[in-house]
Amino acid sequence: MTSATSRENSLTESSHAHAAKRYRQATFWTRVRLHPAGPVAIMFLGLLAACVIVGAIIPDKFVFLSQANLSLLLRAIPGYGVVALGVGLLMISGEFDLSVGSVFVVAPFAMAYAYAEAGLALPVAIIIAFLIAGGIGLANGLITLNFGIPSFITTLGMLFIVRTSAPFIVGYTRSISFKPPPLFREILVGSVGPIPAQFLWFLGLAFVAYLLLNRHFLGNHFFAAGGNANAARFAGINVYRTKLLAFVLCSVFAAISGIFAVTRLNLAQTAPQFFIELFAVAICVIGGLSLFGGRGSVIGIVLGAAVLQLVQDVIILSRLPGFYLDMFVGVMVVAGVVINQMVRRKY
Amino acid sequence: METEHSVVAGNTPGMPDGSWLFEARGISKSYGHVNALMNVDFHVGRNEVVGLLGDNGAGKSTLIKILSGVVIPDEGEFFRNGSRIDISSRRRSEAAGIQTIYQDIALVGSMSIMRNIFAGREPTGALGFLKMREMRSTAMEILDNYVKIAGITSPDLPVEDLSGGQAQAVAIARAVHFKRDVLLLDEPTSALSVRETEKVLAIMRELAESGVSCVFVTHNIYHAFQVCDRFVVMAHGQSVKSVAKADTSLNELTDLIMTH
Repeated sequence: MTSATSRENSLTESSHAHAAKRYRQATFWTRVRLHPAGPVAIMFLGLLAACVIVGAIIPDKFVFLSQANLSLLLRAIPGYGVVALGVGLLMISGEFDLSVGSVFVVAPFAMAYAYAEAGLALPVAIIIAFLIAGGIGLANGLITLNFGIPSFITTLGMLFIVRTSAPFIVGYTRSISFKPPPLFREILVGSVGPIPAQFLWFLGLAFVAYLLLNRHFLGNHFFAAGGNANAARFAGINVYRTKLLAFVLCSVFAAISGIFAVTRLNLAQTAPQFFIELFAVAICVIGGLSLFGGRGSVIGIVLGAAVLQLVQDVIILSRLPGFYLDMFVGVMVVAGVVINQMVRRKY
Repeated sequence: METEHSVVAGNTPGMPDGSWLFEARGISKSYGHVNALMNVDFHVGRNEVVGLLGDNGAGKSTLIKILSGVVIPDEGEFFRNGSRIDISSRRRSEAAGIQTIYQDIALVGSMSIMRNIFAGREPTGALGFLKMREMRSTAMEILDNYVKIAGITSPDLPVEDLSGGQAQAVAIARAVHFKRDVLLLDEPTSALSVRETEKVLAIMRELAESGVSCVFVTHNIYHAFQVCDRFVVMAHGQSVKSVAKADTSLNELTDLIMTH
């Protein structure tokens, strides 16, 4: 070995050793800070701690720690949370879907109509709901990707089209009583001990979304398509097909959430549910997802949903006016984006 | 009638049978009334770094896009080791062993080094689930074997946390690992610091010595003169001259670019 080679080797070894030492110095706190869900985790734990402490100190005035309240909280989190899982997957791939609020209404309405009025079997009615949701997602994707229209605009239009389609088809706004078999209702919206089944379903769906994003090749494609579509194409990824799939999945998740709601209420109606789409996007932003795509995590979405419902719970328990929730959501979205940018540092 | 080709053959010997590692003949491309390329011949030998020089509008980018399979020429033929090949798409170009490293779109910044290396080529098991252990160990091997810039010791580092030179090194390493032996580097040093530029140029030389040929597209004649074996100067869609490094000088190359 020449002296030049041995010199080069010792330089390389010392620089690698330096780098390895530097890498080992990345503490747990740094890794939490740099994880997309780091800031929302801190927000959630802080808010939860505050609620627990205040609830313990003044339990009569702030009944946070009562079983009824906690049960209500766990039941409310999946409402927007499941929609946010789908919206989050699509945001990571670089697109938006504002029509989820209408899919949330129309797909389960079609299920209820097929089951209660057309007399179809429940599994068939559920499949119809998913087909309608998937079809709307596919339409969103095809219009957006084939015509180069921003997905925000495409799905905004679809939001209004879909919202009015059910009353248009049935002739007027109406409600349908939806009474599925008791076992189906119990599995979907019953309870497992003190824990609402819906919350467990939410965690299960979140786990499926986590596996898809982090352990499946499609997840890699979602991140690549949203992070840098050109680089993804040059790597051989079919960005068009990837985004199309994300649009379909987003709508399917919205349909799932709607089915839960309809089953819990025993009622499906064509009246629109306002702002579901905006709350879902807000959950994703609070959870650390980027509005520009390519970044985010499922744990961030789960914690974002938890934070949103915690705030709503605090507002209700504090007997504040309802519009305070809208104000807080707006503030948290802006704060969430700012905090994400401030806390994330290169190391 | 044999048309006059814009010959870019140079003096470097090719394969023992007279063929080149990669050769393009009679490449022409027009955009409306603009002739981007006119009957250009181009070749790359094994273990060679070819500098593709020229001012803006010379046709360098069009030639690179054609070789990458992104643009289909109006006329032209392509050969690899003397056998005719089809590079009419990105996939076909990659299958022919060609990989383009762009300055700013090679990698996805928000993803880790490991995920970038395997983007589009993920090793999967049942139902499409990733083979994470294989990905991690292969990524570490690539970092150890090909990427010798200090500061990268974990495949989980997001690419946006790397310096420009480190990211270029990762992009190059990815291409080499997946068996591409003709790398087209489009302005790889234009956004890099002096130190990082030296490292990327050193990587190019090492690659050429190990059997991976490079086509170095650059405006910076000084960088090209440091690392290239042969220079191809283009202007107005034609090649002006192809010359080995031993037969030219920095001043001559500069004059060629400035006077055409």
